[in-house]
Amino acid sequence: MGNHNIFIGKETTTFKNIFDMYYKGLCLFAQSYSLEMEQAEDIVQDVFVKICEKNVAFTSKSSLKSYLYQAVKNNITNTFRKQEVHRKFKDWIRNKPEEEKIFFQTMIEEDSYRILFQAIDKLPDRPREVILLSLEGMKNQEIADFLSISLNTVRTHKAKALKLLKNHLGHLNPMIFVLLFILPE
Amino acid sequence: MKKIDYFKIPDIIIKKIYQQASQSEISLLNHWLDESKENQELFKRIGERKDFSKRRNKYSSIKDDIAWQKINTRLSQQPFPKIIPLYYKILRYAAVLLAPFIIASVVYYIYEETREYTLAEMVQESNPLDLQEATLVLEDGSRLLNLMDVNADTLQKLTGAKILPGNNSIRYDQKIVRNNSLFPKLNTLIVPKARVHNIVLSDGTKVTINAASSLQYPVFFNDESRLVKLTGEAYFNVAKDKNKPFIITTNGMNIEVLGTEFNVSSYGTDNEIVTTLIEGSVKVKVGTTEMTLQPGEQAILFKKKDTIAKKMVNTELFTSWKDGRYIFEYENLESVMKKIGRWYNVEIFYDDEQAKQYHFKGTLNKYDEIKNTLYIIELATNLEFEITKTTVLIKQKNRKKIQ
Repeated sequence: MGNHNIFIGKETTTFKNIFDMYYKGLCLFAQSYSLEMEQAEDIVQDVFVKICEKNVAFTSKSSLKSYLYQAVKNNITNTFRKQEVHRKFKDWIRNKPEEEKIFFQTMIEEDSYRILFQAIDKLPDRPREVILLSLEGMKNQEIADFLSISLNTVRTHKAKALKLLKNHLGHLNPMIFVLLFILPE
Repeated sequence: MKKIDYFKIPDIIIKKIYQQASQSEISLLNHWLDESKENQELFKRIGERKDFSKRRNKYSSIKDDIAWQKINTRLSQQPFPKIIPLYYKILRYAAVLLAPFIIASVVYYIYEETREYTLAEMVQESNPLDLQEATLVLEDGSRLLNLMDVNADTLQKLTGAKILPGNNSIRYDQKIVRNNSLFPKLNTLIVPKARVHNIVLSDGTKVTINAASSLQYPVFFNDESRLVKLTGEAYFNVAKDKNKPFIITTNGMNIEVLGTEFNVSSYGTDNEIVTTLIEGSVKVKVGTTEMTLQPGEQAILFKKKDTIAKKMVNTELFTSWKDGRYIFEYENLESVMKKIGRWYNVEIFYDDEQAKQYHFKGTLNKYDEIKNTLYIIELATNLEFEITKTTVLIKQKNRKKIQ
């Protein structure tokens, strides 16, 4: 099941890959709509099941992302709608422009962190540990004390982490426009 | 300036923080920042990574391996996948190469049916592809060409179709597509809400496809018949060819013609399939029931009851959409608003269900803006429309005070 292919423009990736990239980030996004984590996870799982069932193809990475976040949001509004049907729904329609703005703001914040966390998770153990502590606000000396390593080692790990992080981020390409090609069989 | 694709912003923000953003990305980011103060604050907040550890802890505490197992359990309980590319390929070759395997082609069409259903869903349901423009889907269902963006040479190389100058048109040239086995055999043209698109098929048949509709057709028609599949609405002007009947399949109904002009409306959300004949003659078939139409006649298939009725109509009422206007003759608001919703890509909500029963006679032009069209209805009725980018809420005017 996990090897099921998903088409994104001219690229093909597996369902599992997309799950790994987005699952946690989407859960946090859903949770920011004042949901319990358990509820948030259920909603995100529903979305993944649906993608697999429907065999949806995407024109680009950005359209995949748009689908995921919109689908999670729609599922949340559906849940709200069922709970407090009519009155709330009407308010919602009236506040639609405002609601849309909040959606994009939340998505941008949560997704930025998701991208950062993803990049960090790809780092080797020690550099990752050091950069995480540094991002949490620790000074180099504090990190050295905390991990019982020398100040120089902290600096080396940090430099390595930043280099790898930048290298990874430099290869992220949200701007790619989809080139379409069919290979003769 | 073009509307910002907000889904690209997060990547750019993080890249910018780590000095990896390109020039064009920075200009897109600046454009977004200029949009509002909130955006600037948001950018600052992420840059400072204020609640970093809190977020990181939450992120790490999510047990995605358990979730992954749950999803797989749920998926394994369902029939999957709908599309089996391998079967599809084998059957395709079998059908072409071996005469006794003609039976296989029947199976092949059953697979086709499933596949087309997913495509139909793409247009008519919540539109997961979020298509903004008419889009051509090549045979395997995974390659999509946006017809507003696509380079004319690329399109011709991939499909053999040419873009015609002027109003949203493409044309397949029989000479080009006939002997080129590299072209995929089937194409599907999907027209999203708020769009209309013209197409000339390789036999010279002209089709105008209405909003929220799709047409699947072979790039080149084989020797026995000309078979296409429709969801939604289209106006056909079928090129005459006595030896090759032109057959339209839609929602389980077949419409068979030799050469003629007619309109078919078969939206999944409507209860009827309506075929209106302008010129020539057509045969409508459902199961074993057959009905032949004369010019000016209309066949209505009631989907729930599975029955067909025939009547004489003013055909203009049913074909005027292709000229950018709708003519109504005693049609209720619900049906009028359905069409308007497809025109302007908005969802319609009723504050008062009774409003649906207003009946209309007259002509509506397709203005650039929805509010101009709705204003005309407002003038004629006691109704009020609350319009947002994606919705219209219909209310009674004087009811507001009572609330």
